[in-house]
Amino acid sequence: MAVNTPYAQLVGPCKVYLAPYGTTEPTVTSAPSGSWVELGATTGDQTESKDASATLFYDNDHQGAVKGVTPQEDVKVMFTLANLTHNHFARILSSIANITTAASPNVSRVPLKSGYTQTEYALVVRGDGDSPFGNYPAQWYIPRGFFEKALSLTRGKTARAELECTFLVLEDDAQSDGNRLGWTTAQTS
Amino acid sequence: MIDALAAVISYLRTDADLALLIEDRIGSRHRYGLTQSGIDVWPNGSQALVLHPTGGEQPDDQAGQIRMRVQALGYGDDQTLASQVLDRVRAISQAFIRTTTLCPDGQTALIYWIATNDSVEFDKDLDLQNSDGGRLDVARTVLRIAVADQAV
Repeated sequence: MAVNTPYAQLVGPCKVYLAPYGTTEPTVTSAPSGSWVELGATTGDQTESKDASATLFYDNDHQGAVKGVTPQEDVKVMFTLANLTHNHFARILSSIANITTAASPNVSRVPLKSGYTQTEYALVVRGDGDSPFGNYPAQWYIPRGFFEKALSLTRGKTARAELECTFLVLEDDAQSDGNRLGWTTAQTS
Repeated sequence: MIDALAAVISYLRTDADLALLIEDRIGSRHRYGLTQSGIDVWPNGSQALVLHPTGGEQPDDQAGQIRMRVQALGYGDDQTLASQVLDRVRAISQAFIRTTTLCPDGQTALIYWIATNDSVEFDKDLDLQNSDGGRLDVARTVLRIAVADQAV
C-alpha cells in the first residue's frame, strides 16, 4: 500500500477574500476582517493555478537537454461568483469607486468599461480545513493582482447568471524575492 | 432555512386561475382521509394538484439555492380534467419571474424558478376513486424548482 497521509488530500470549497493592494496577509487562524471582503457565494469550485513552462537548452555534445530555465511564471486564481451584488460586480470590473447612485427611482449604476489601467487588489483563498497537516485552516495569499475583464453572464429559465472570475497575479516588489507572486500558508498544529 | 416545497405550494396557492380548478386541494400528498378499504374517495368533479419531491437535481448548497425536482400530479375525474390542472401549472411556469412568497411559517421565500422539466404522461390512480366508484385520472409531469435557502 502506498504511503497515505489522509490530511494531505485537500477537498472542499474555499472562500475568496479581496482587499486593496497593500493589505497584509490575514492571520490564517481567523476569518479575514478589516479591509478584506468575502467574494461569496461562489459555486463551489475554486482553482489556483501556476503556469511556468520550461525552456530547454541543447548543445552539440549531448542528445538531451543540458540546461533548463523557467523564463515566465504566471499565477492565477479562478472561481465562479454567484453573488452578483453591484459591489462585487464593480470590484471584478474595476472598482467600487466607479459605482454611481441616483434617486427617483433609487438606482445604482456600474459602468461596463473597465479602462486600460486596472485596479489592483490583494486576494486570499482560504479553507477552514485546507491544511495538509491536520484539520486546520490554510490559505493562498496573493499580494498583488487584478481581474481579467473578459466576462460572460448567461441566465435562463433554469440557469443562474454566474461570473467566471480570473485573478491574474502580478509581481509585488514590496515583497521579498521569493514571495513576490504570493504564497500559501497552512496551520500545522 | 426555507422549506422550498412549502414555498412553491404557497406560491401556487396564490394563483387565482389554479384555485378555480383545485380550490385548496394542493399539497405534497393526496391521501387526505383513507377509508378502511384503503381507497380514498373524493367527491365527483374534484380536481387536485400534488407536488411530490423526486430525485435527480444537482444540489447548489454552496451558493445558497435549494434545488429540487418535483413530480407534479394533476388529478381529475377524466384525462381532460386531470390535464387541465397541469396546463395551468405549465402556464404559471411559462410566465414565472423570480418572485417572493409568504410561507406558512411566516418566512418570506425567494423563488428563483419553477420550470417544467418533462413531458406529460397520463395514468389512472387506483388508490383514488370518486363518489361513483370511478378511479381518478392523473396527469404527471416534473418541475424543476429553485428557492433561496434563506428568508428574504
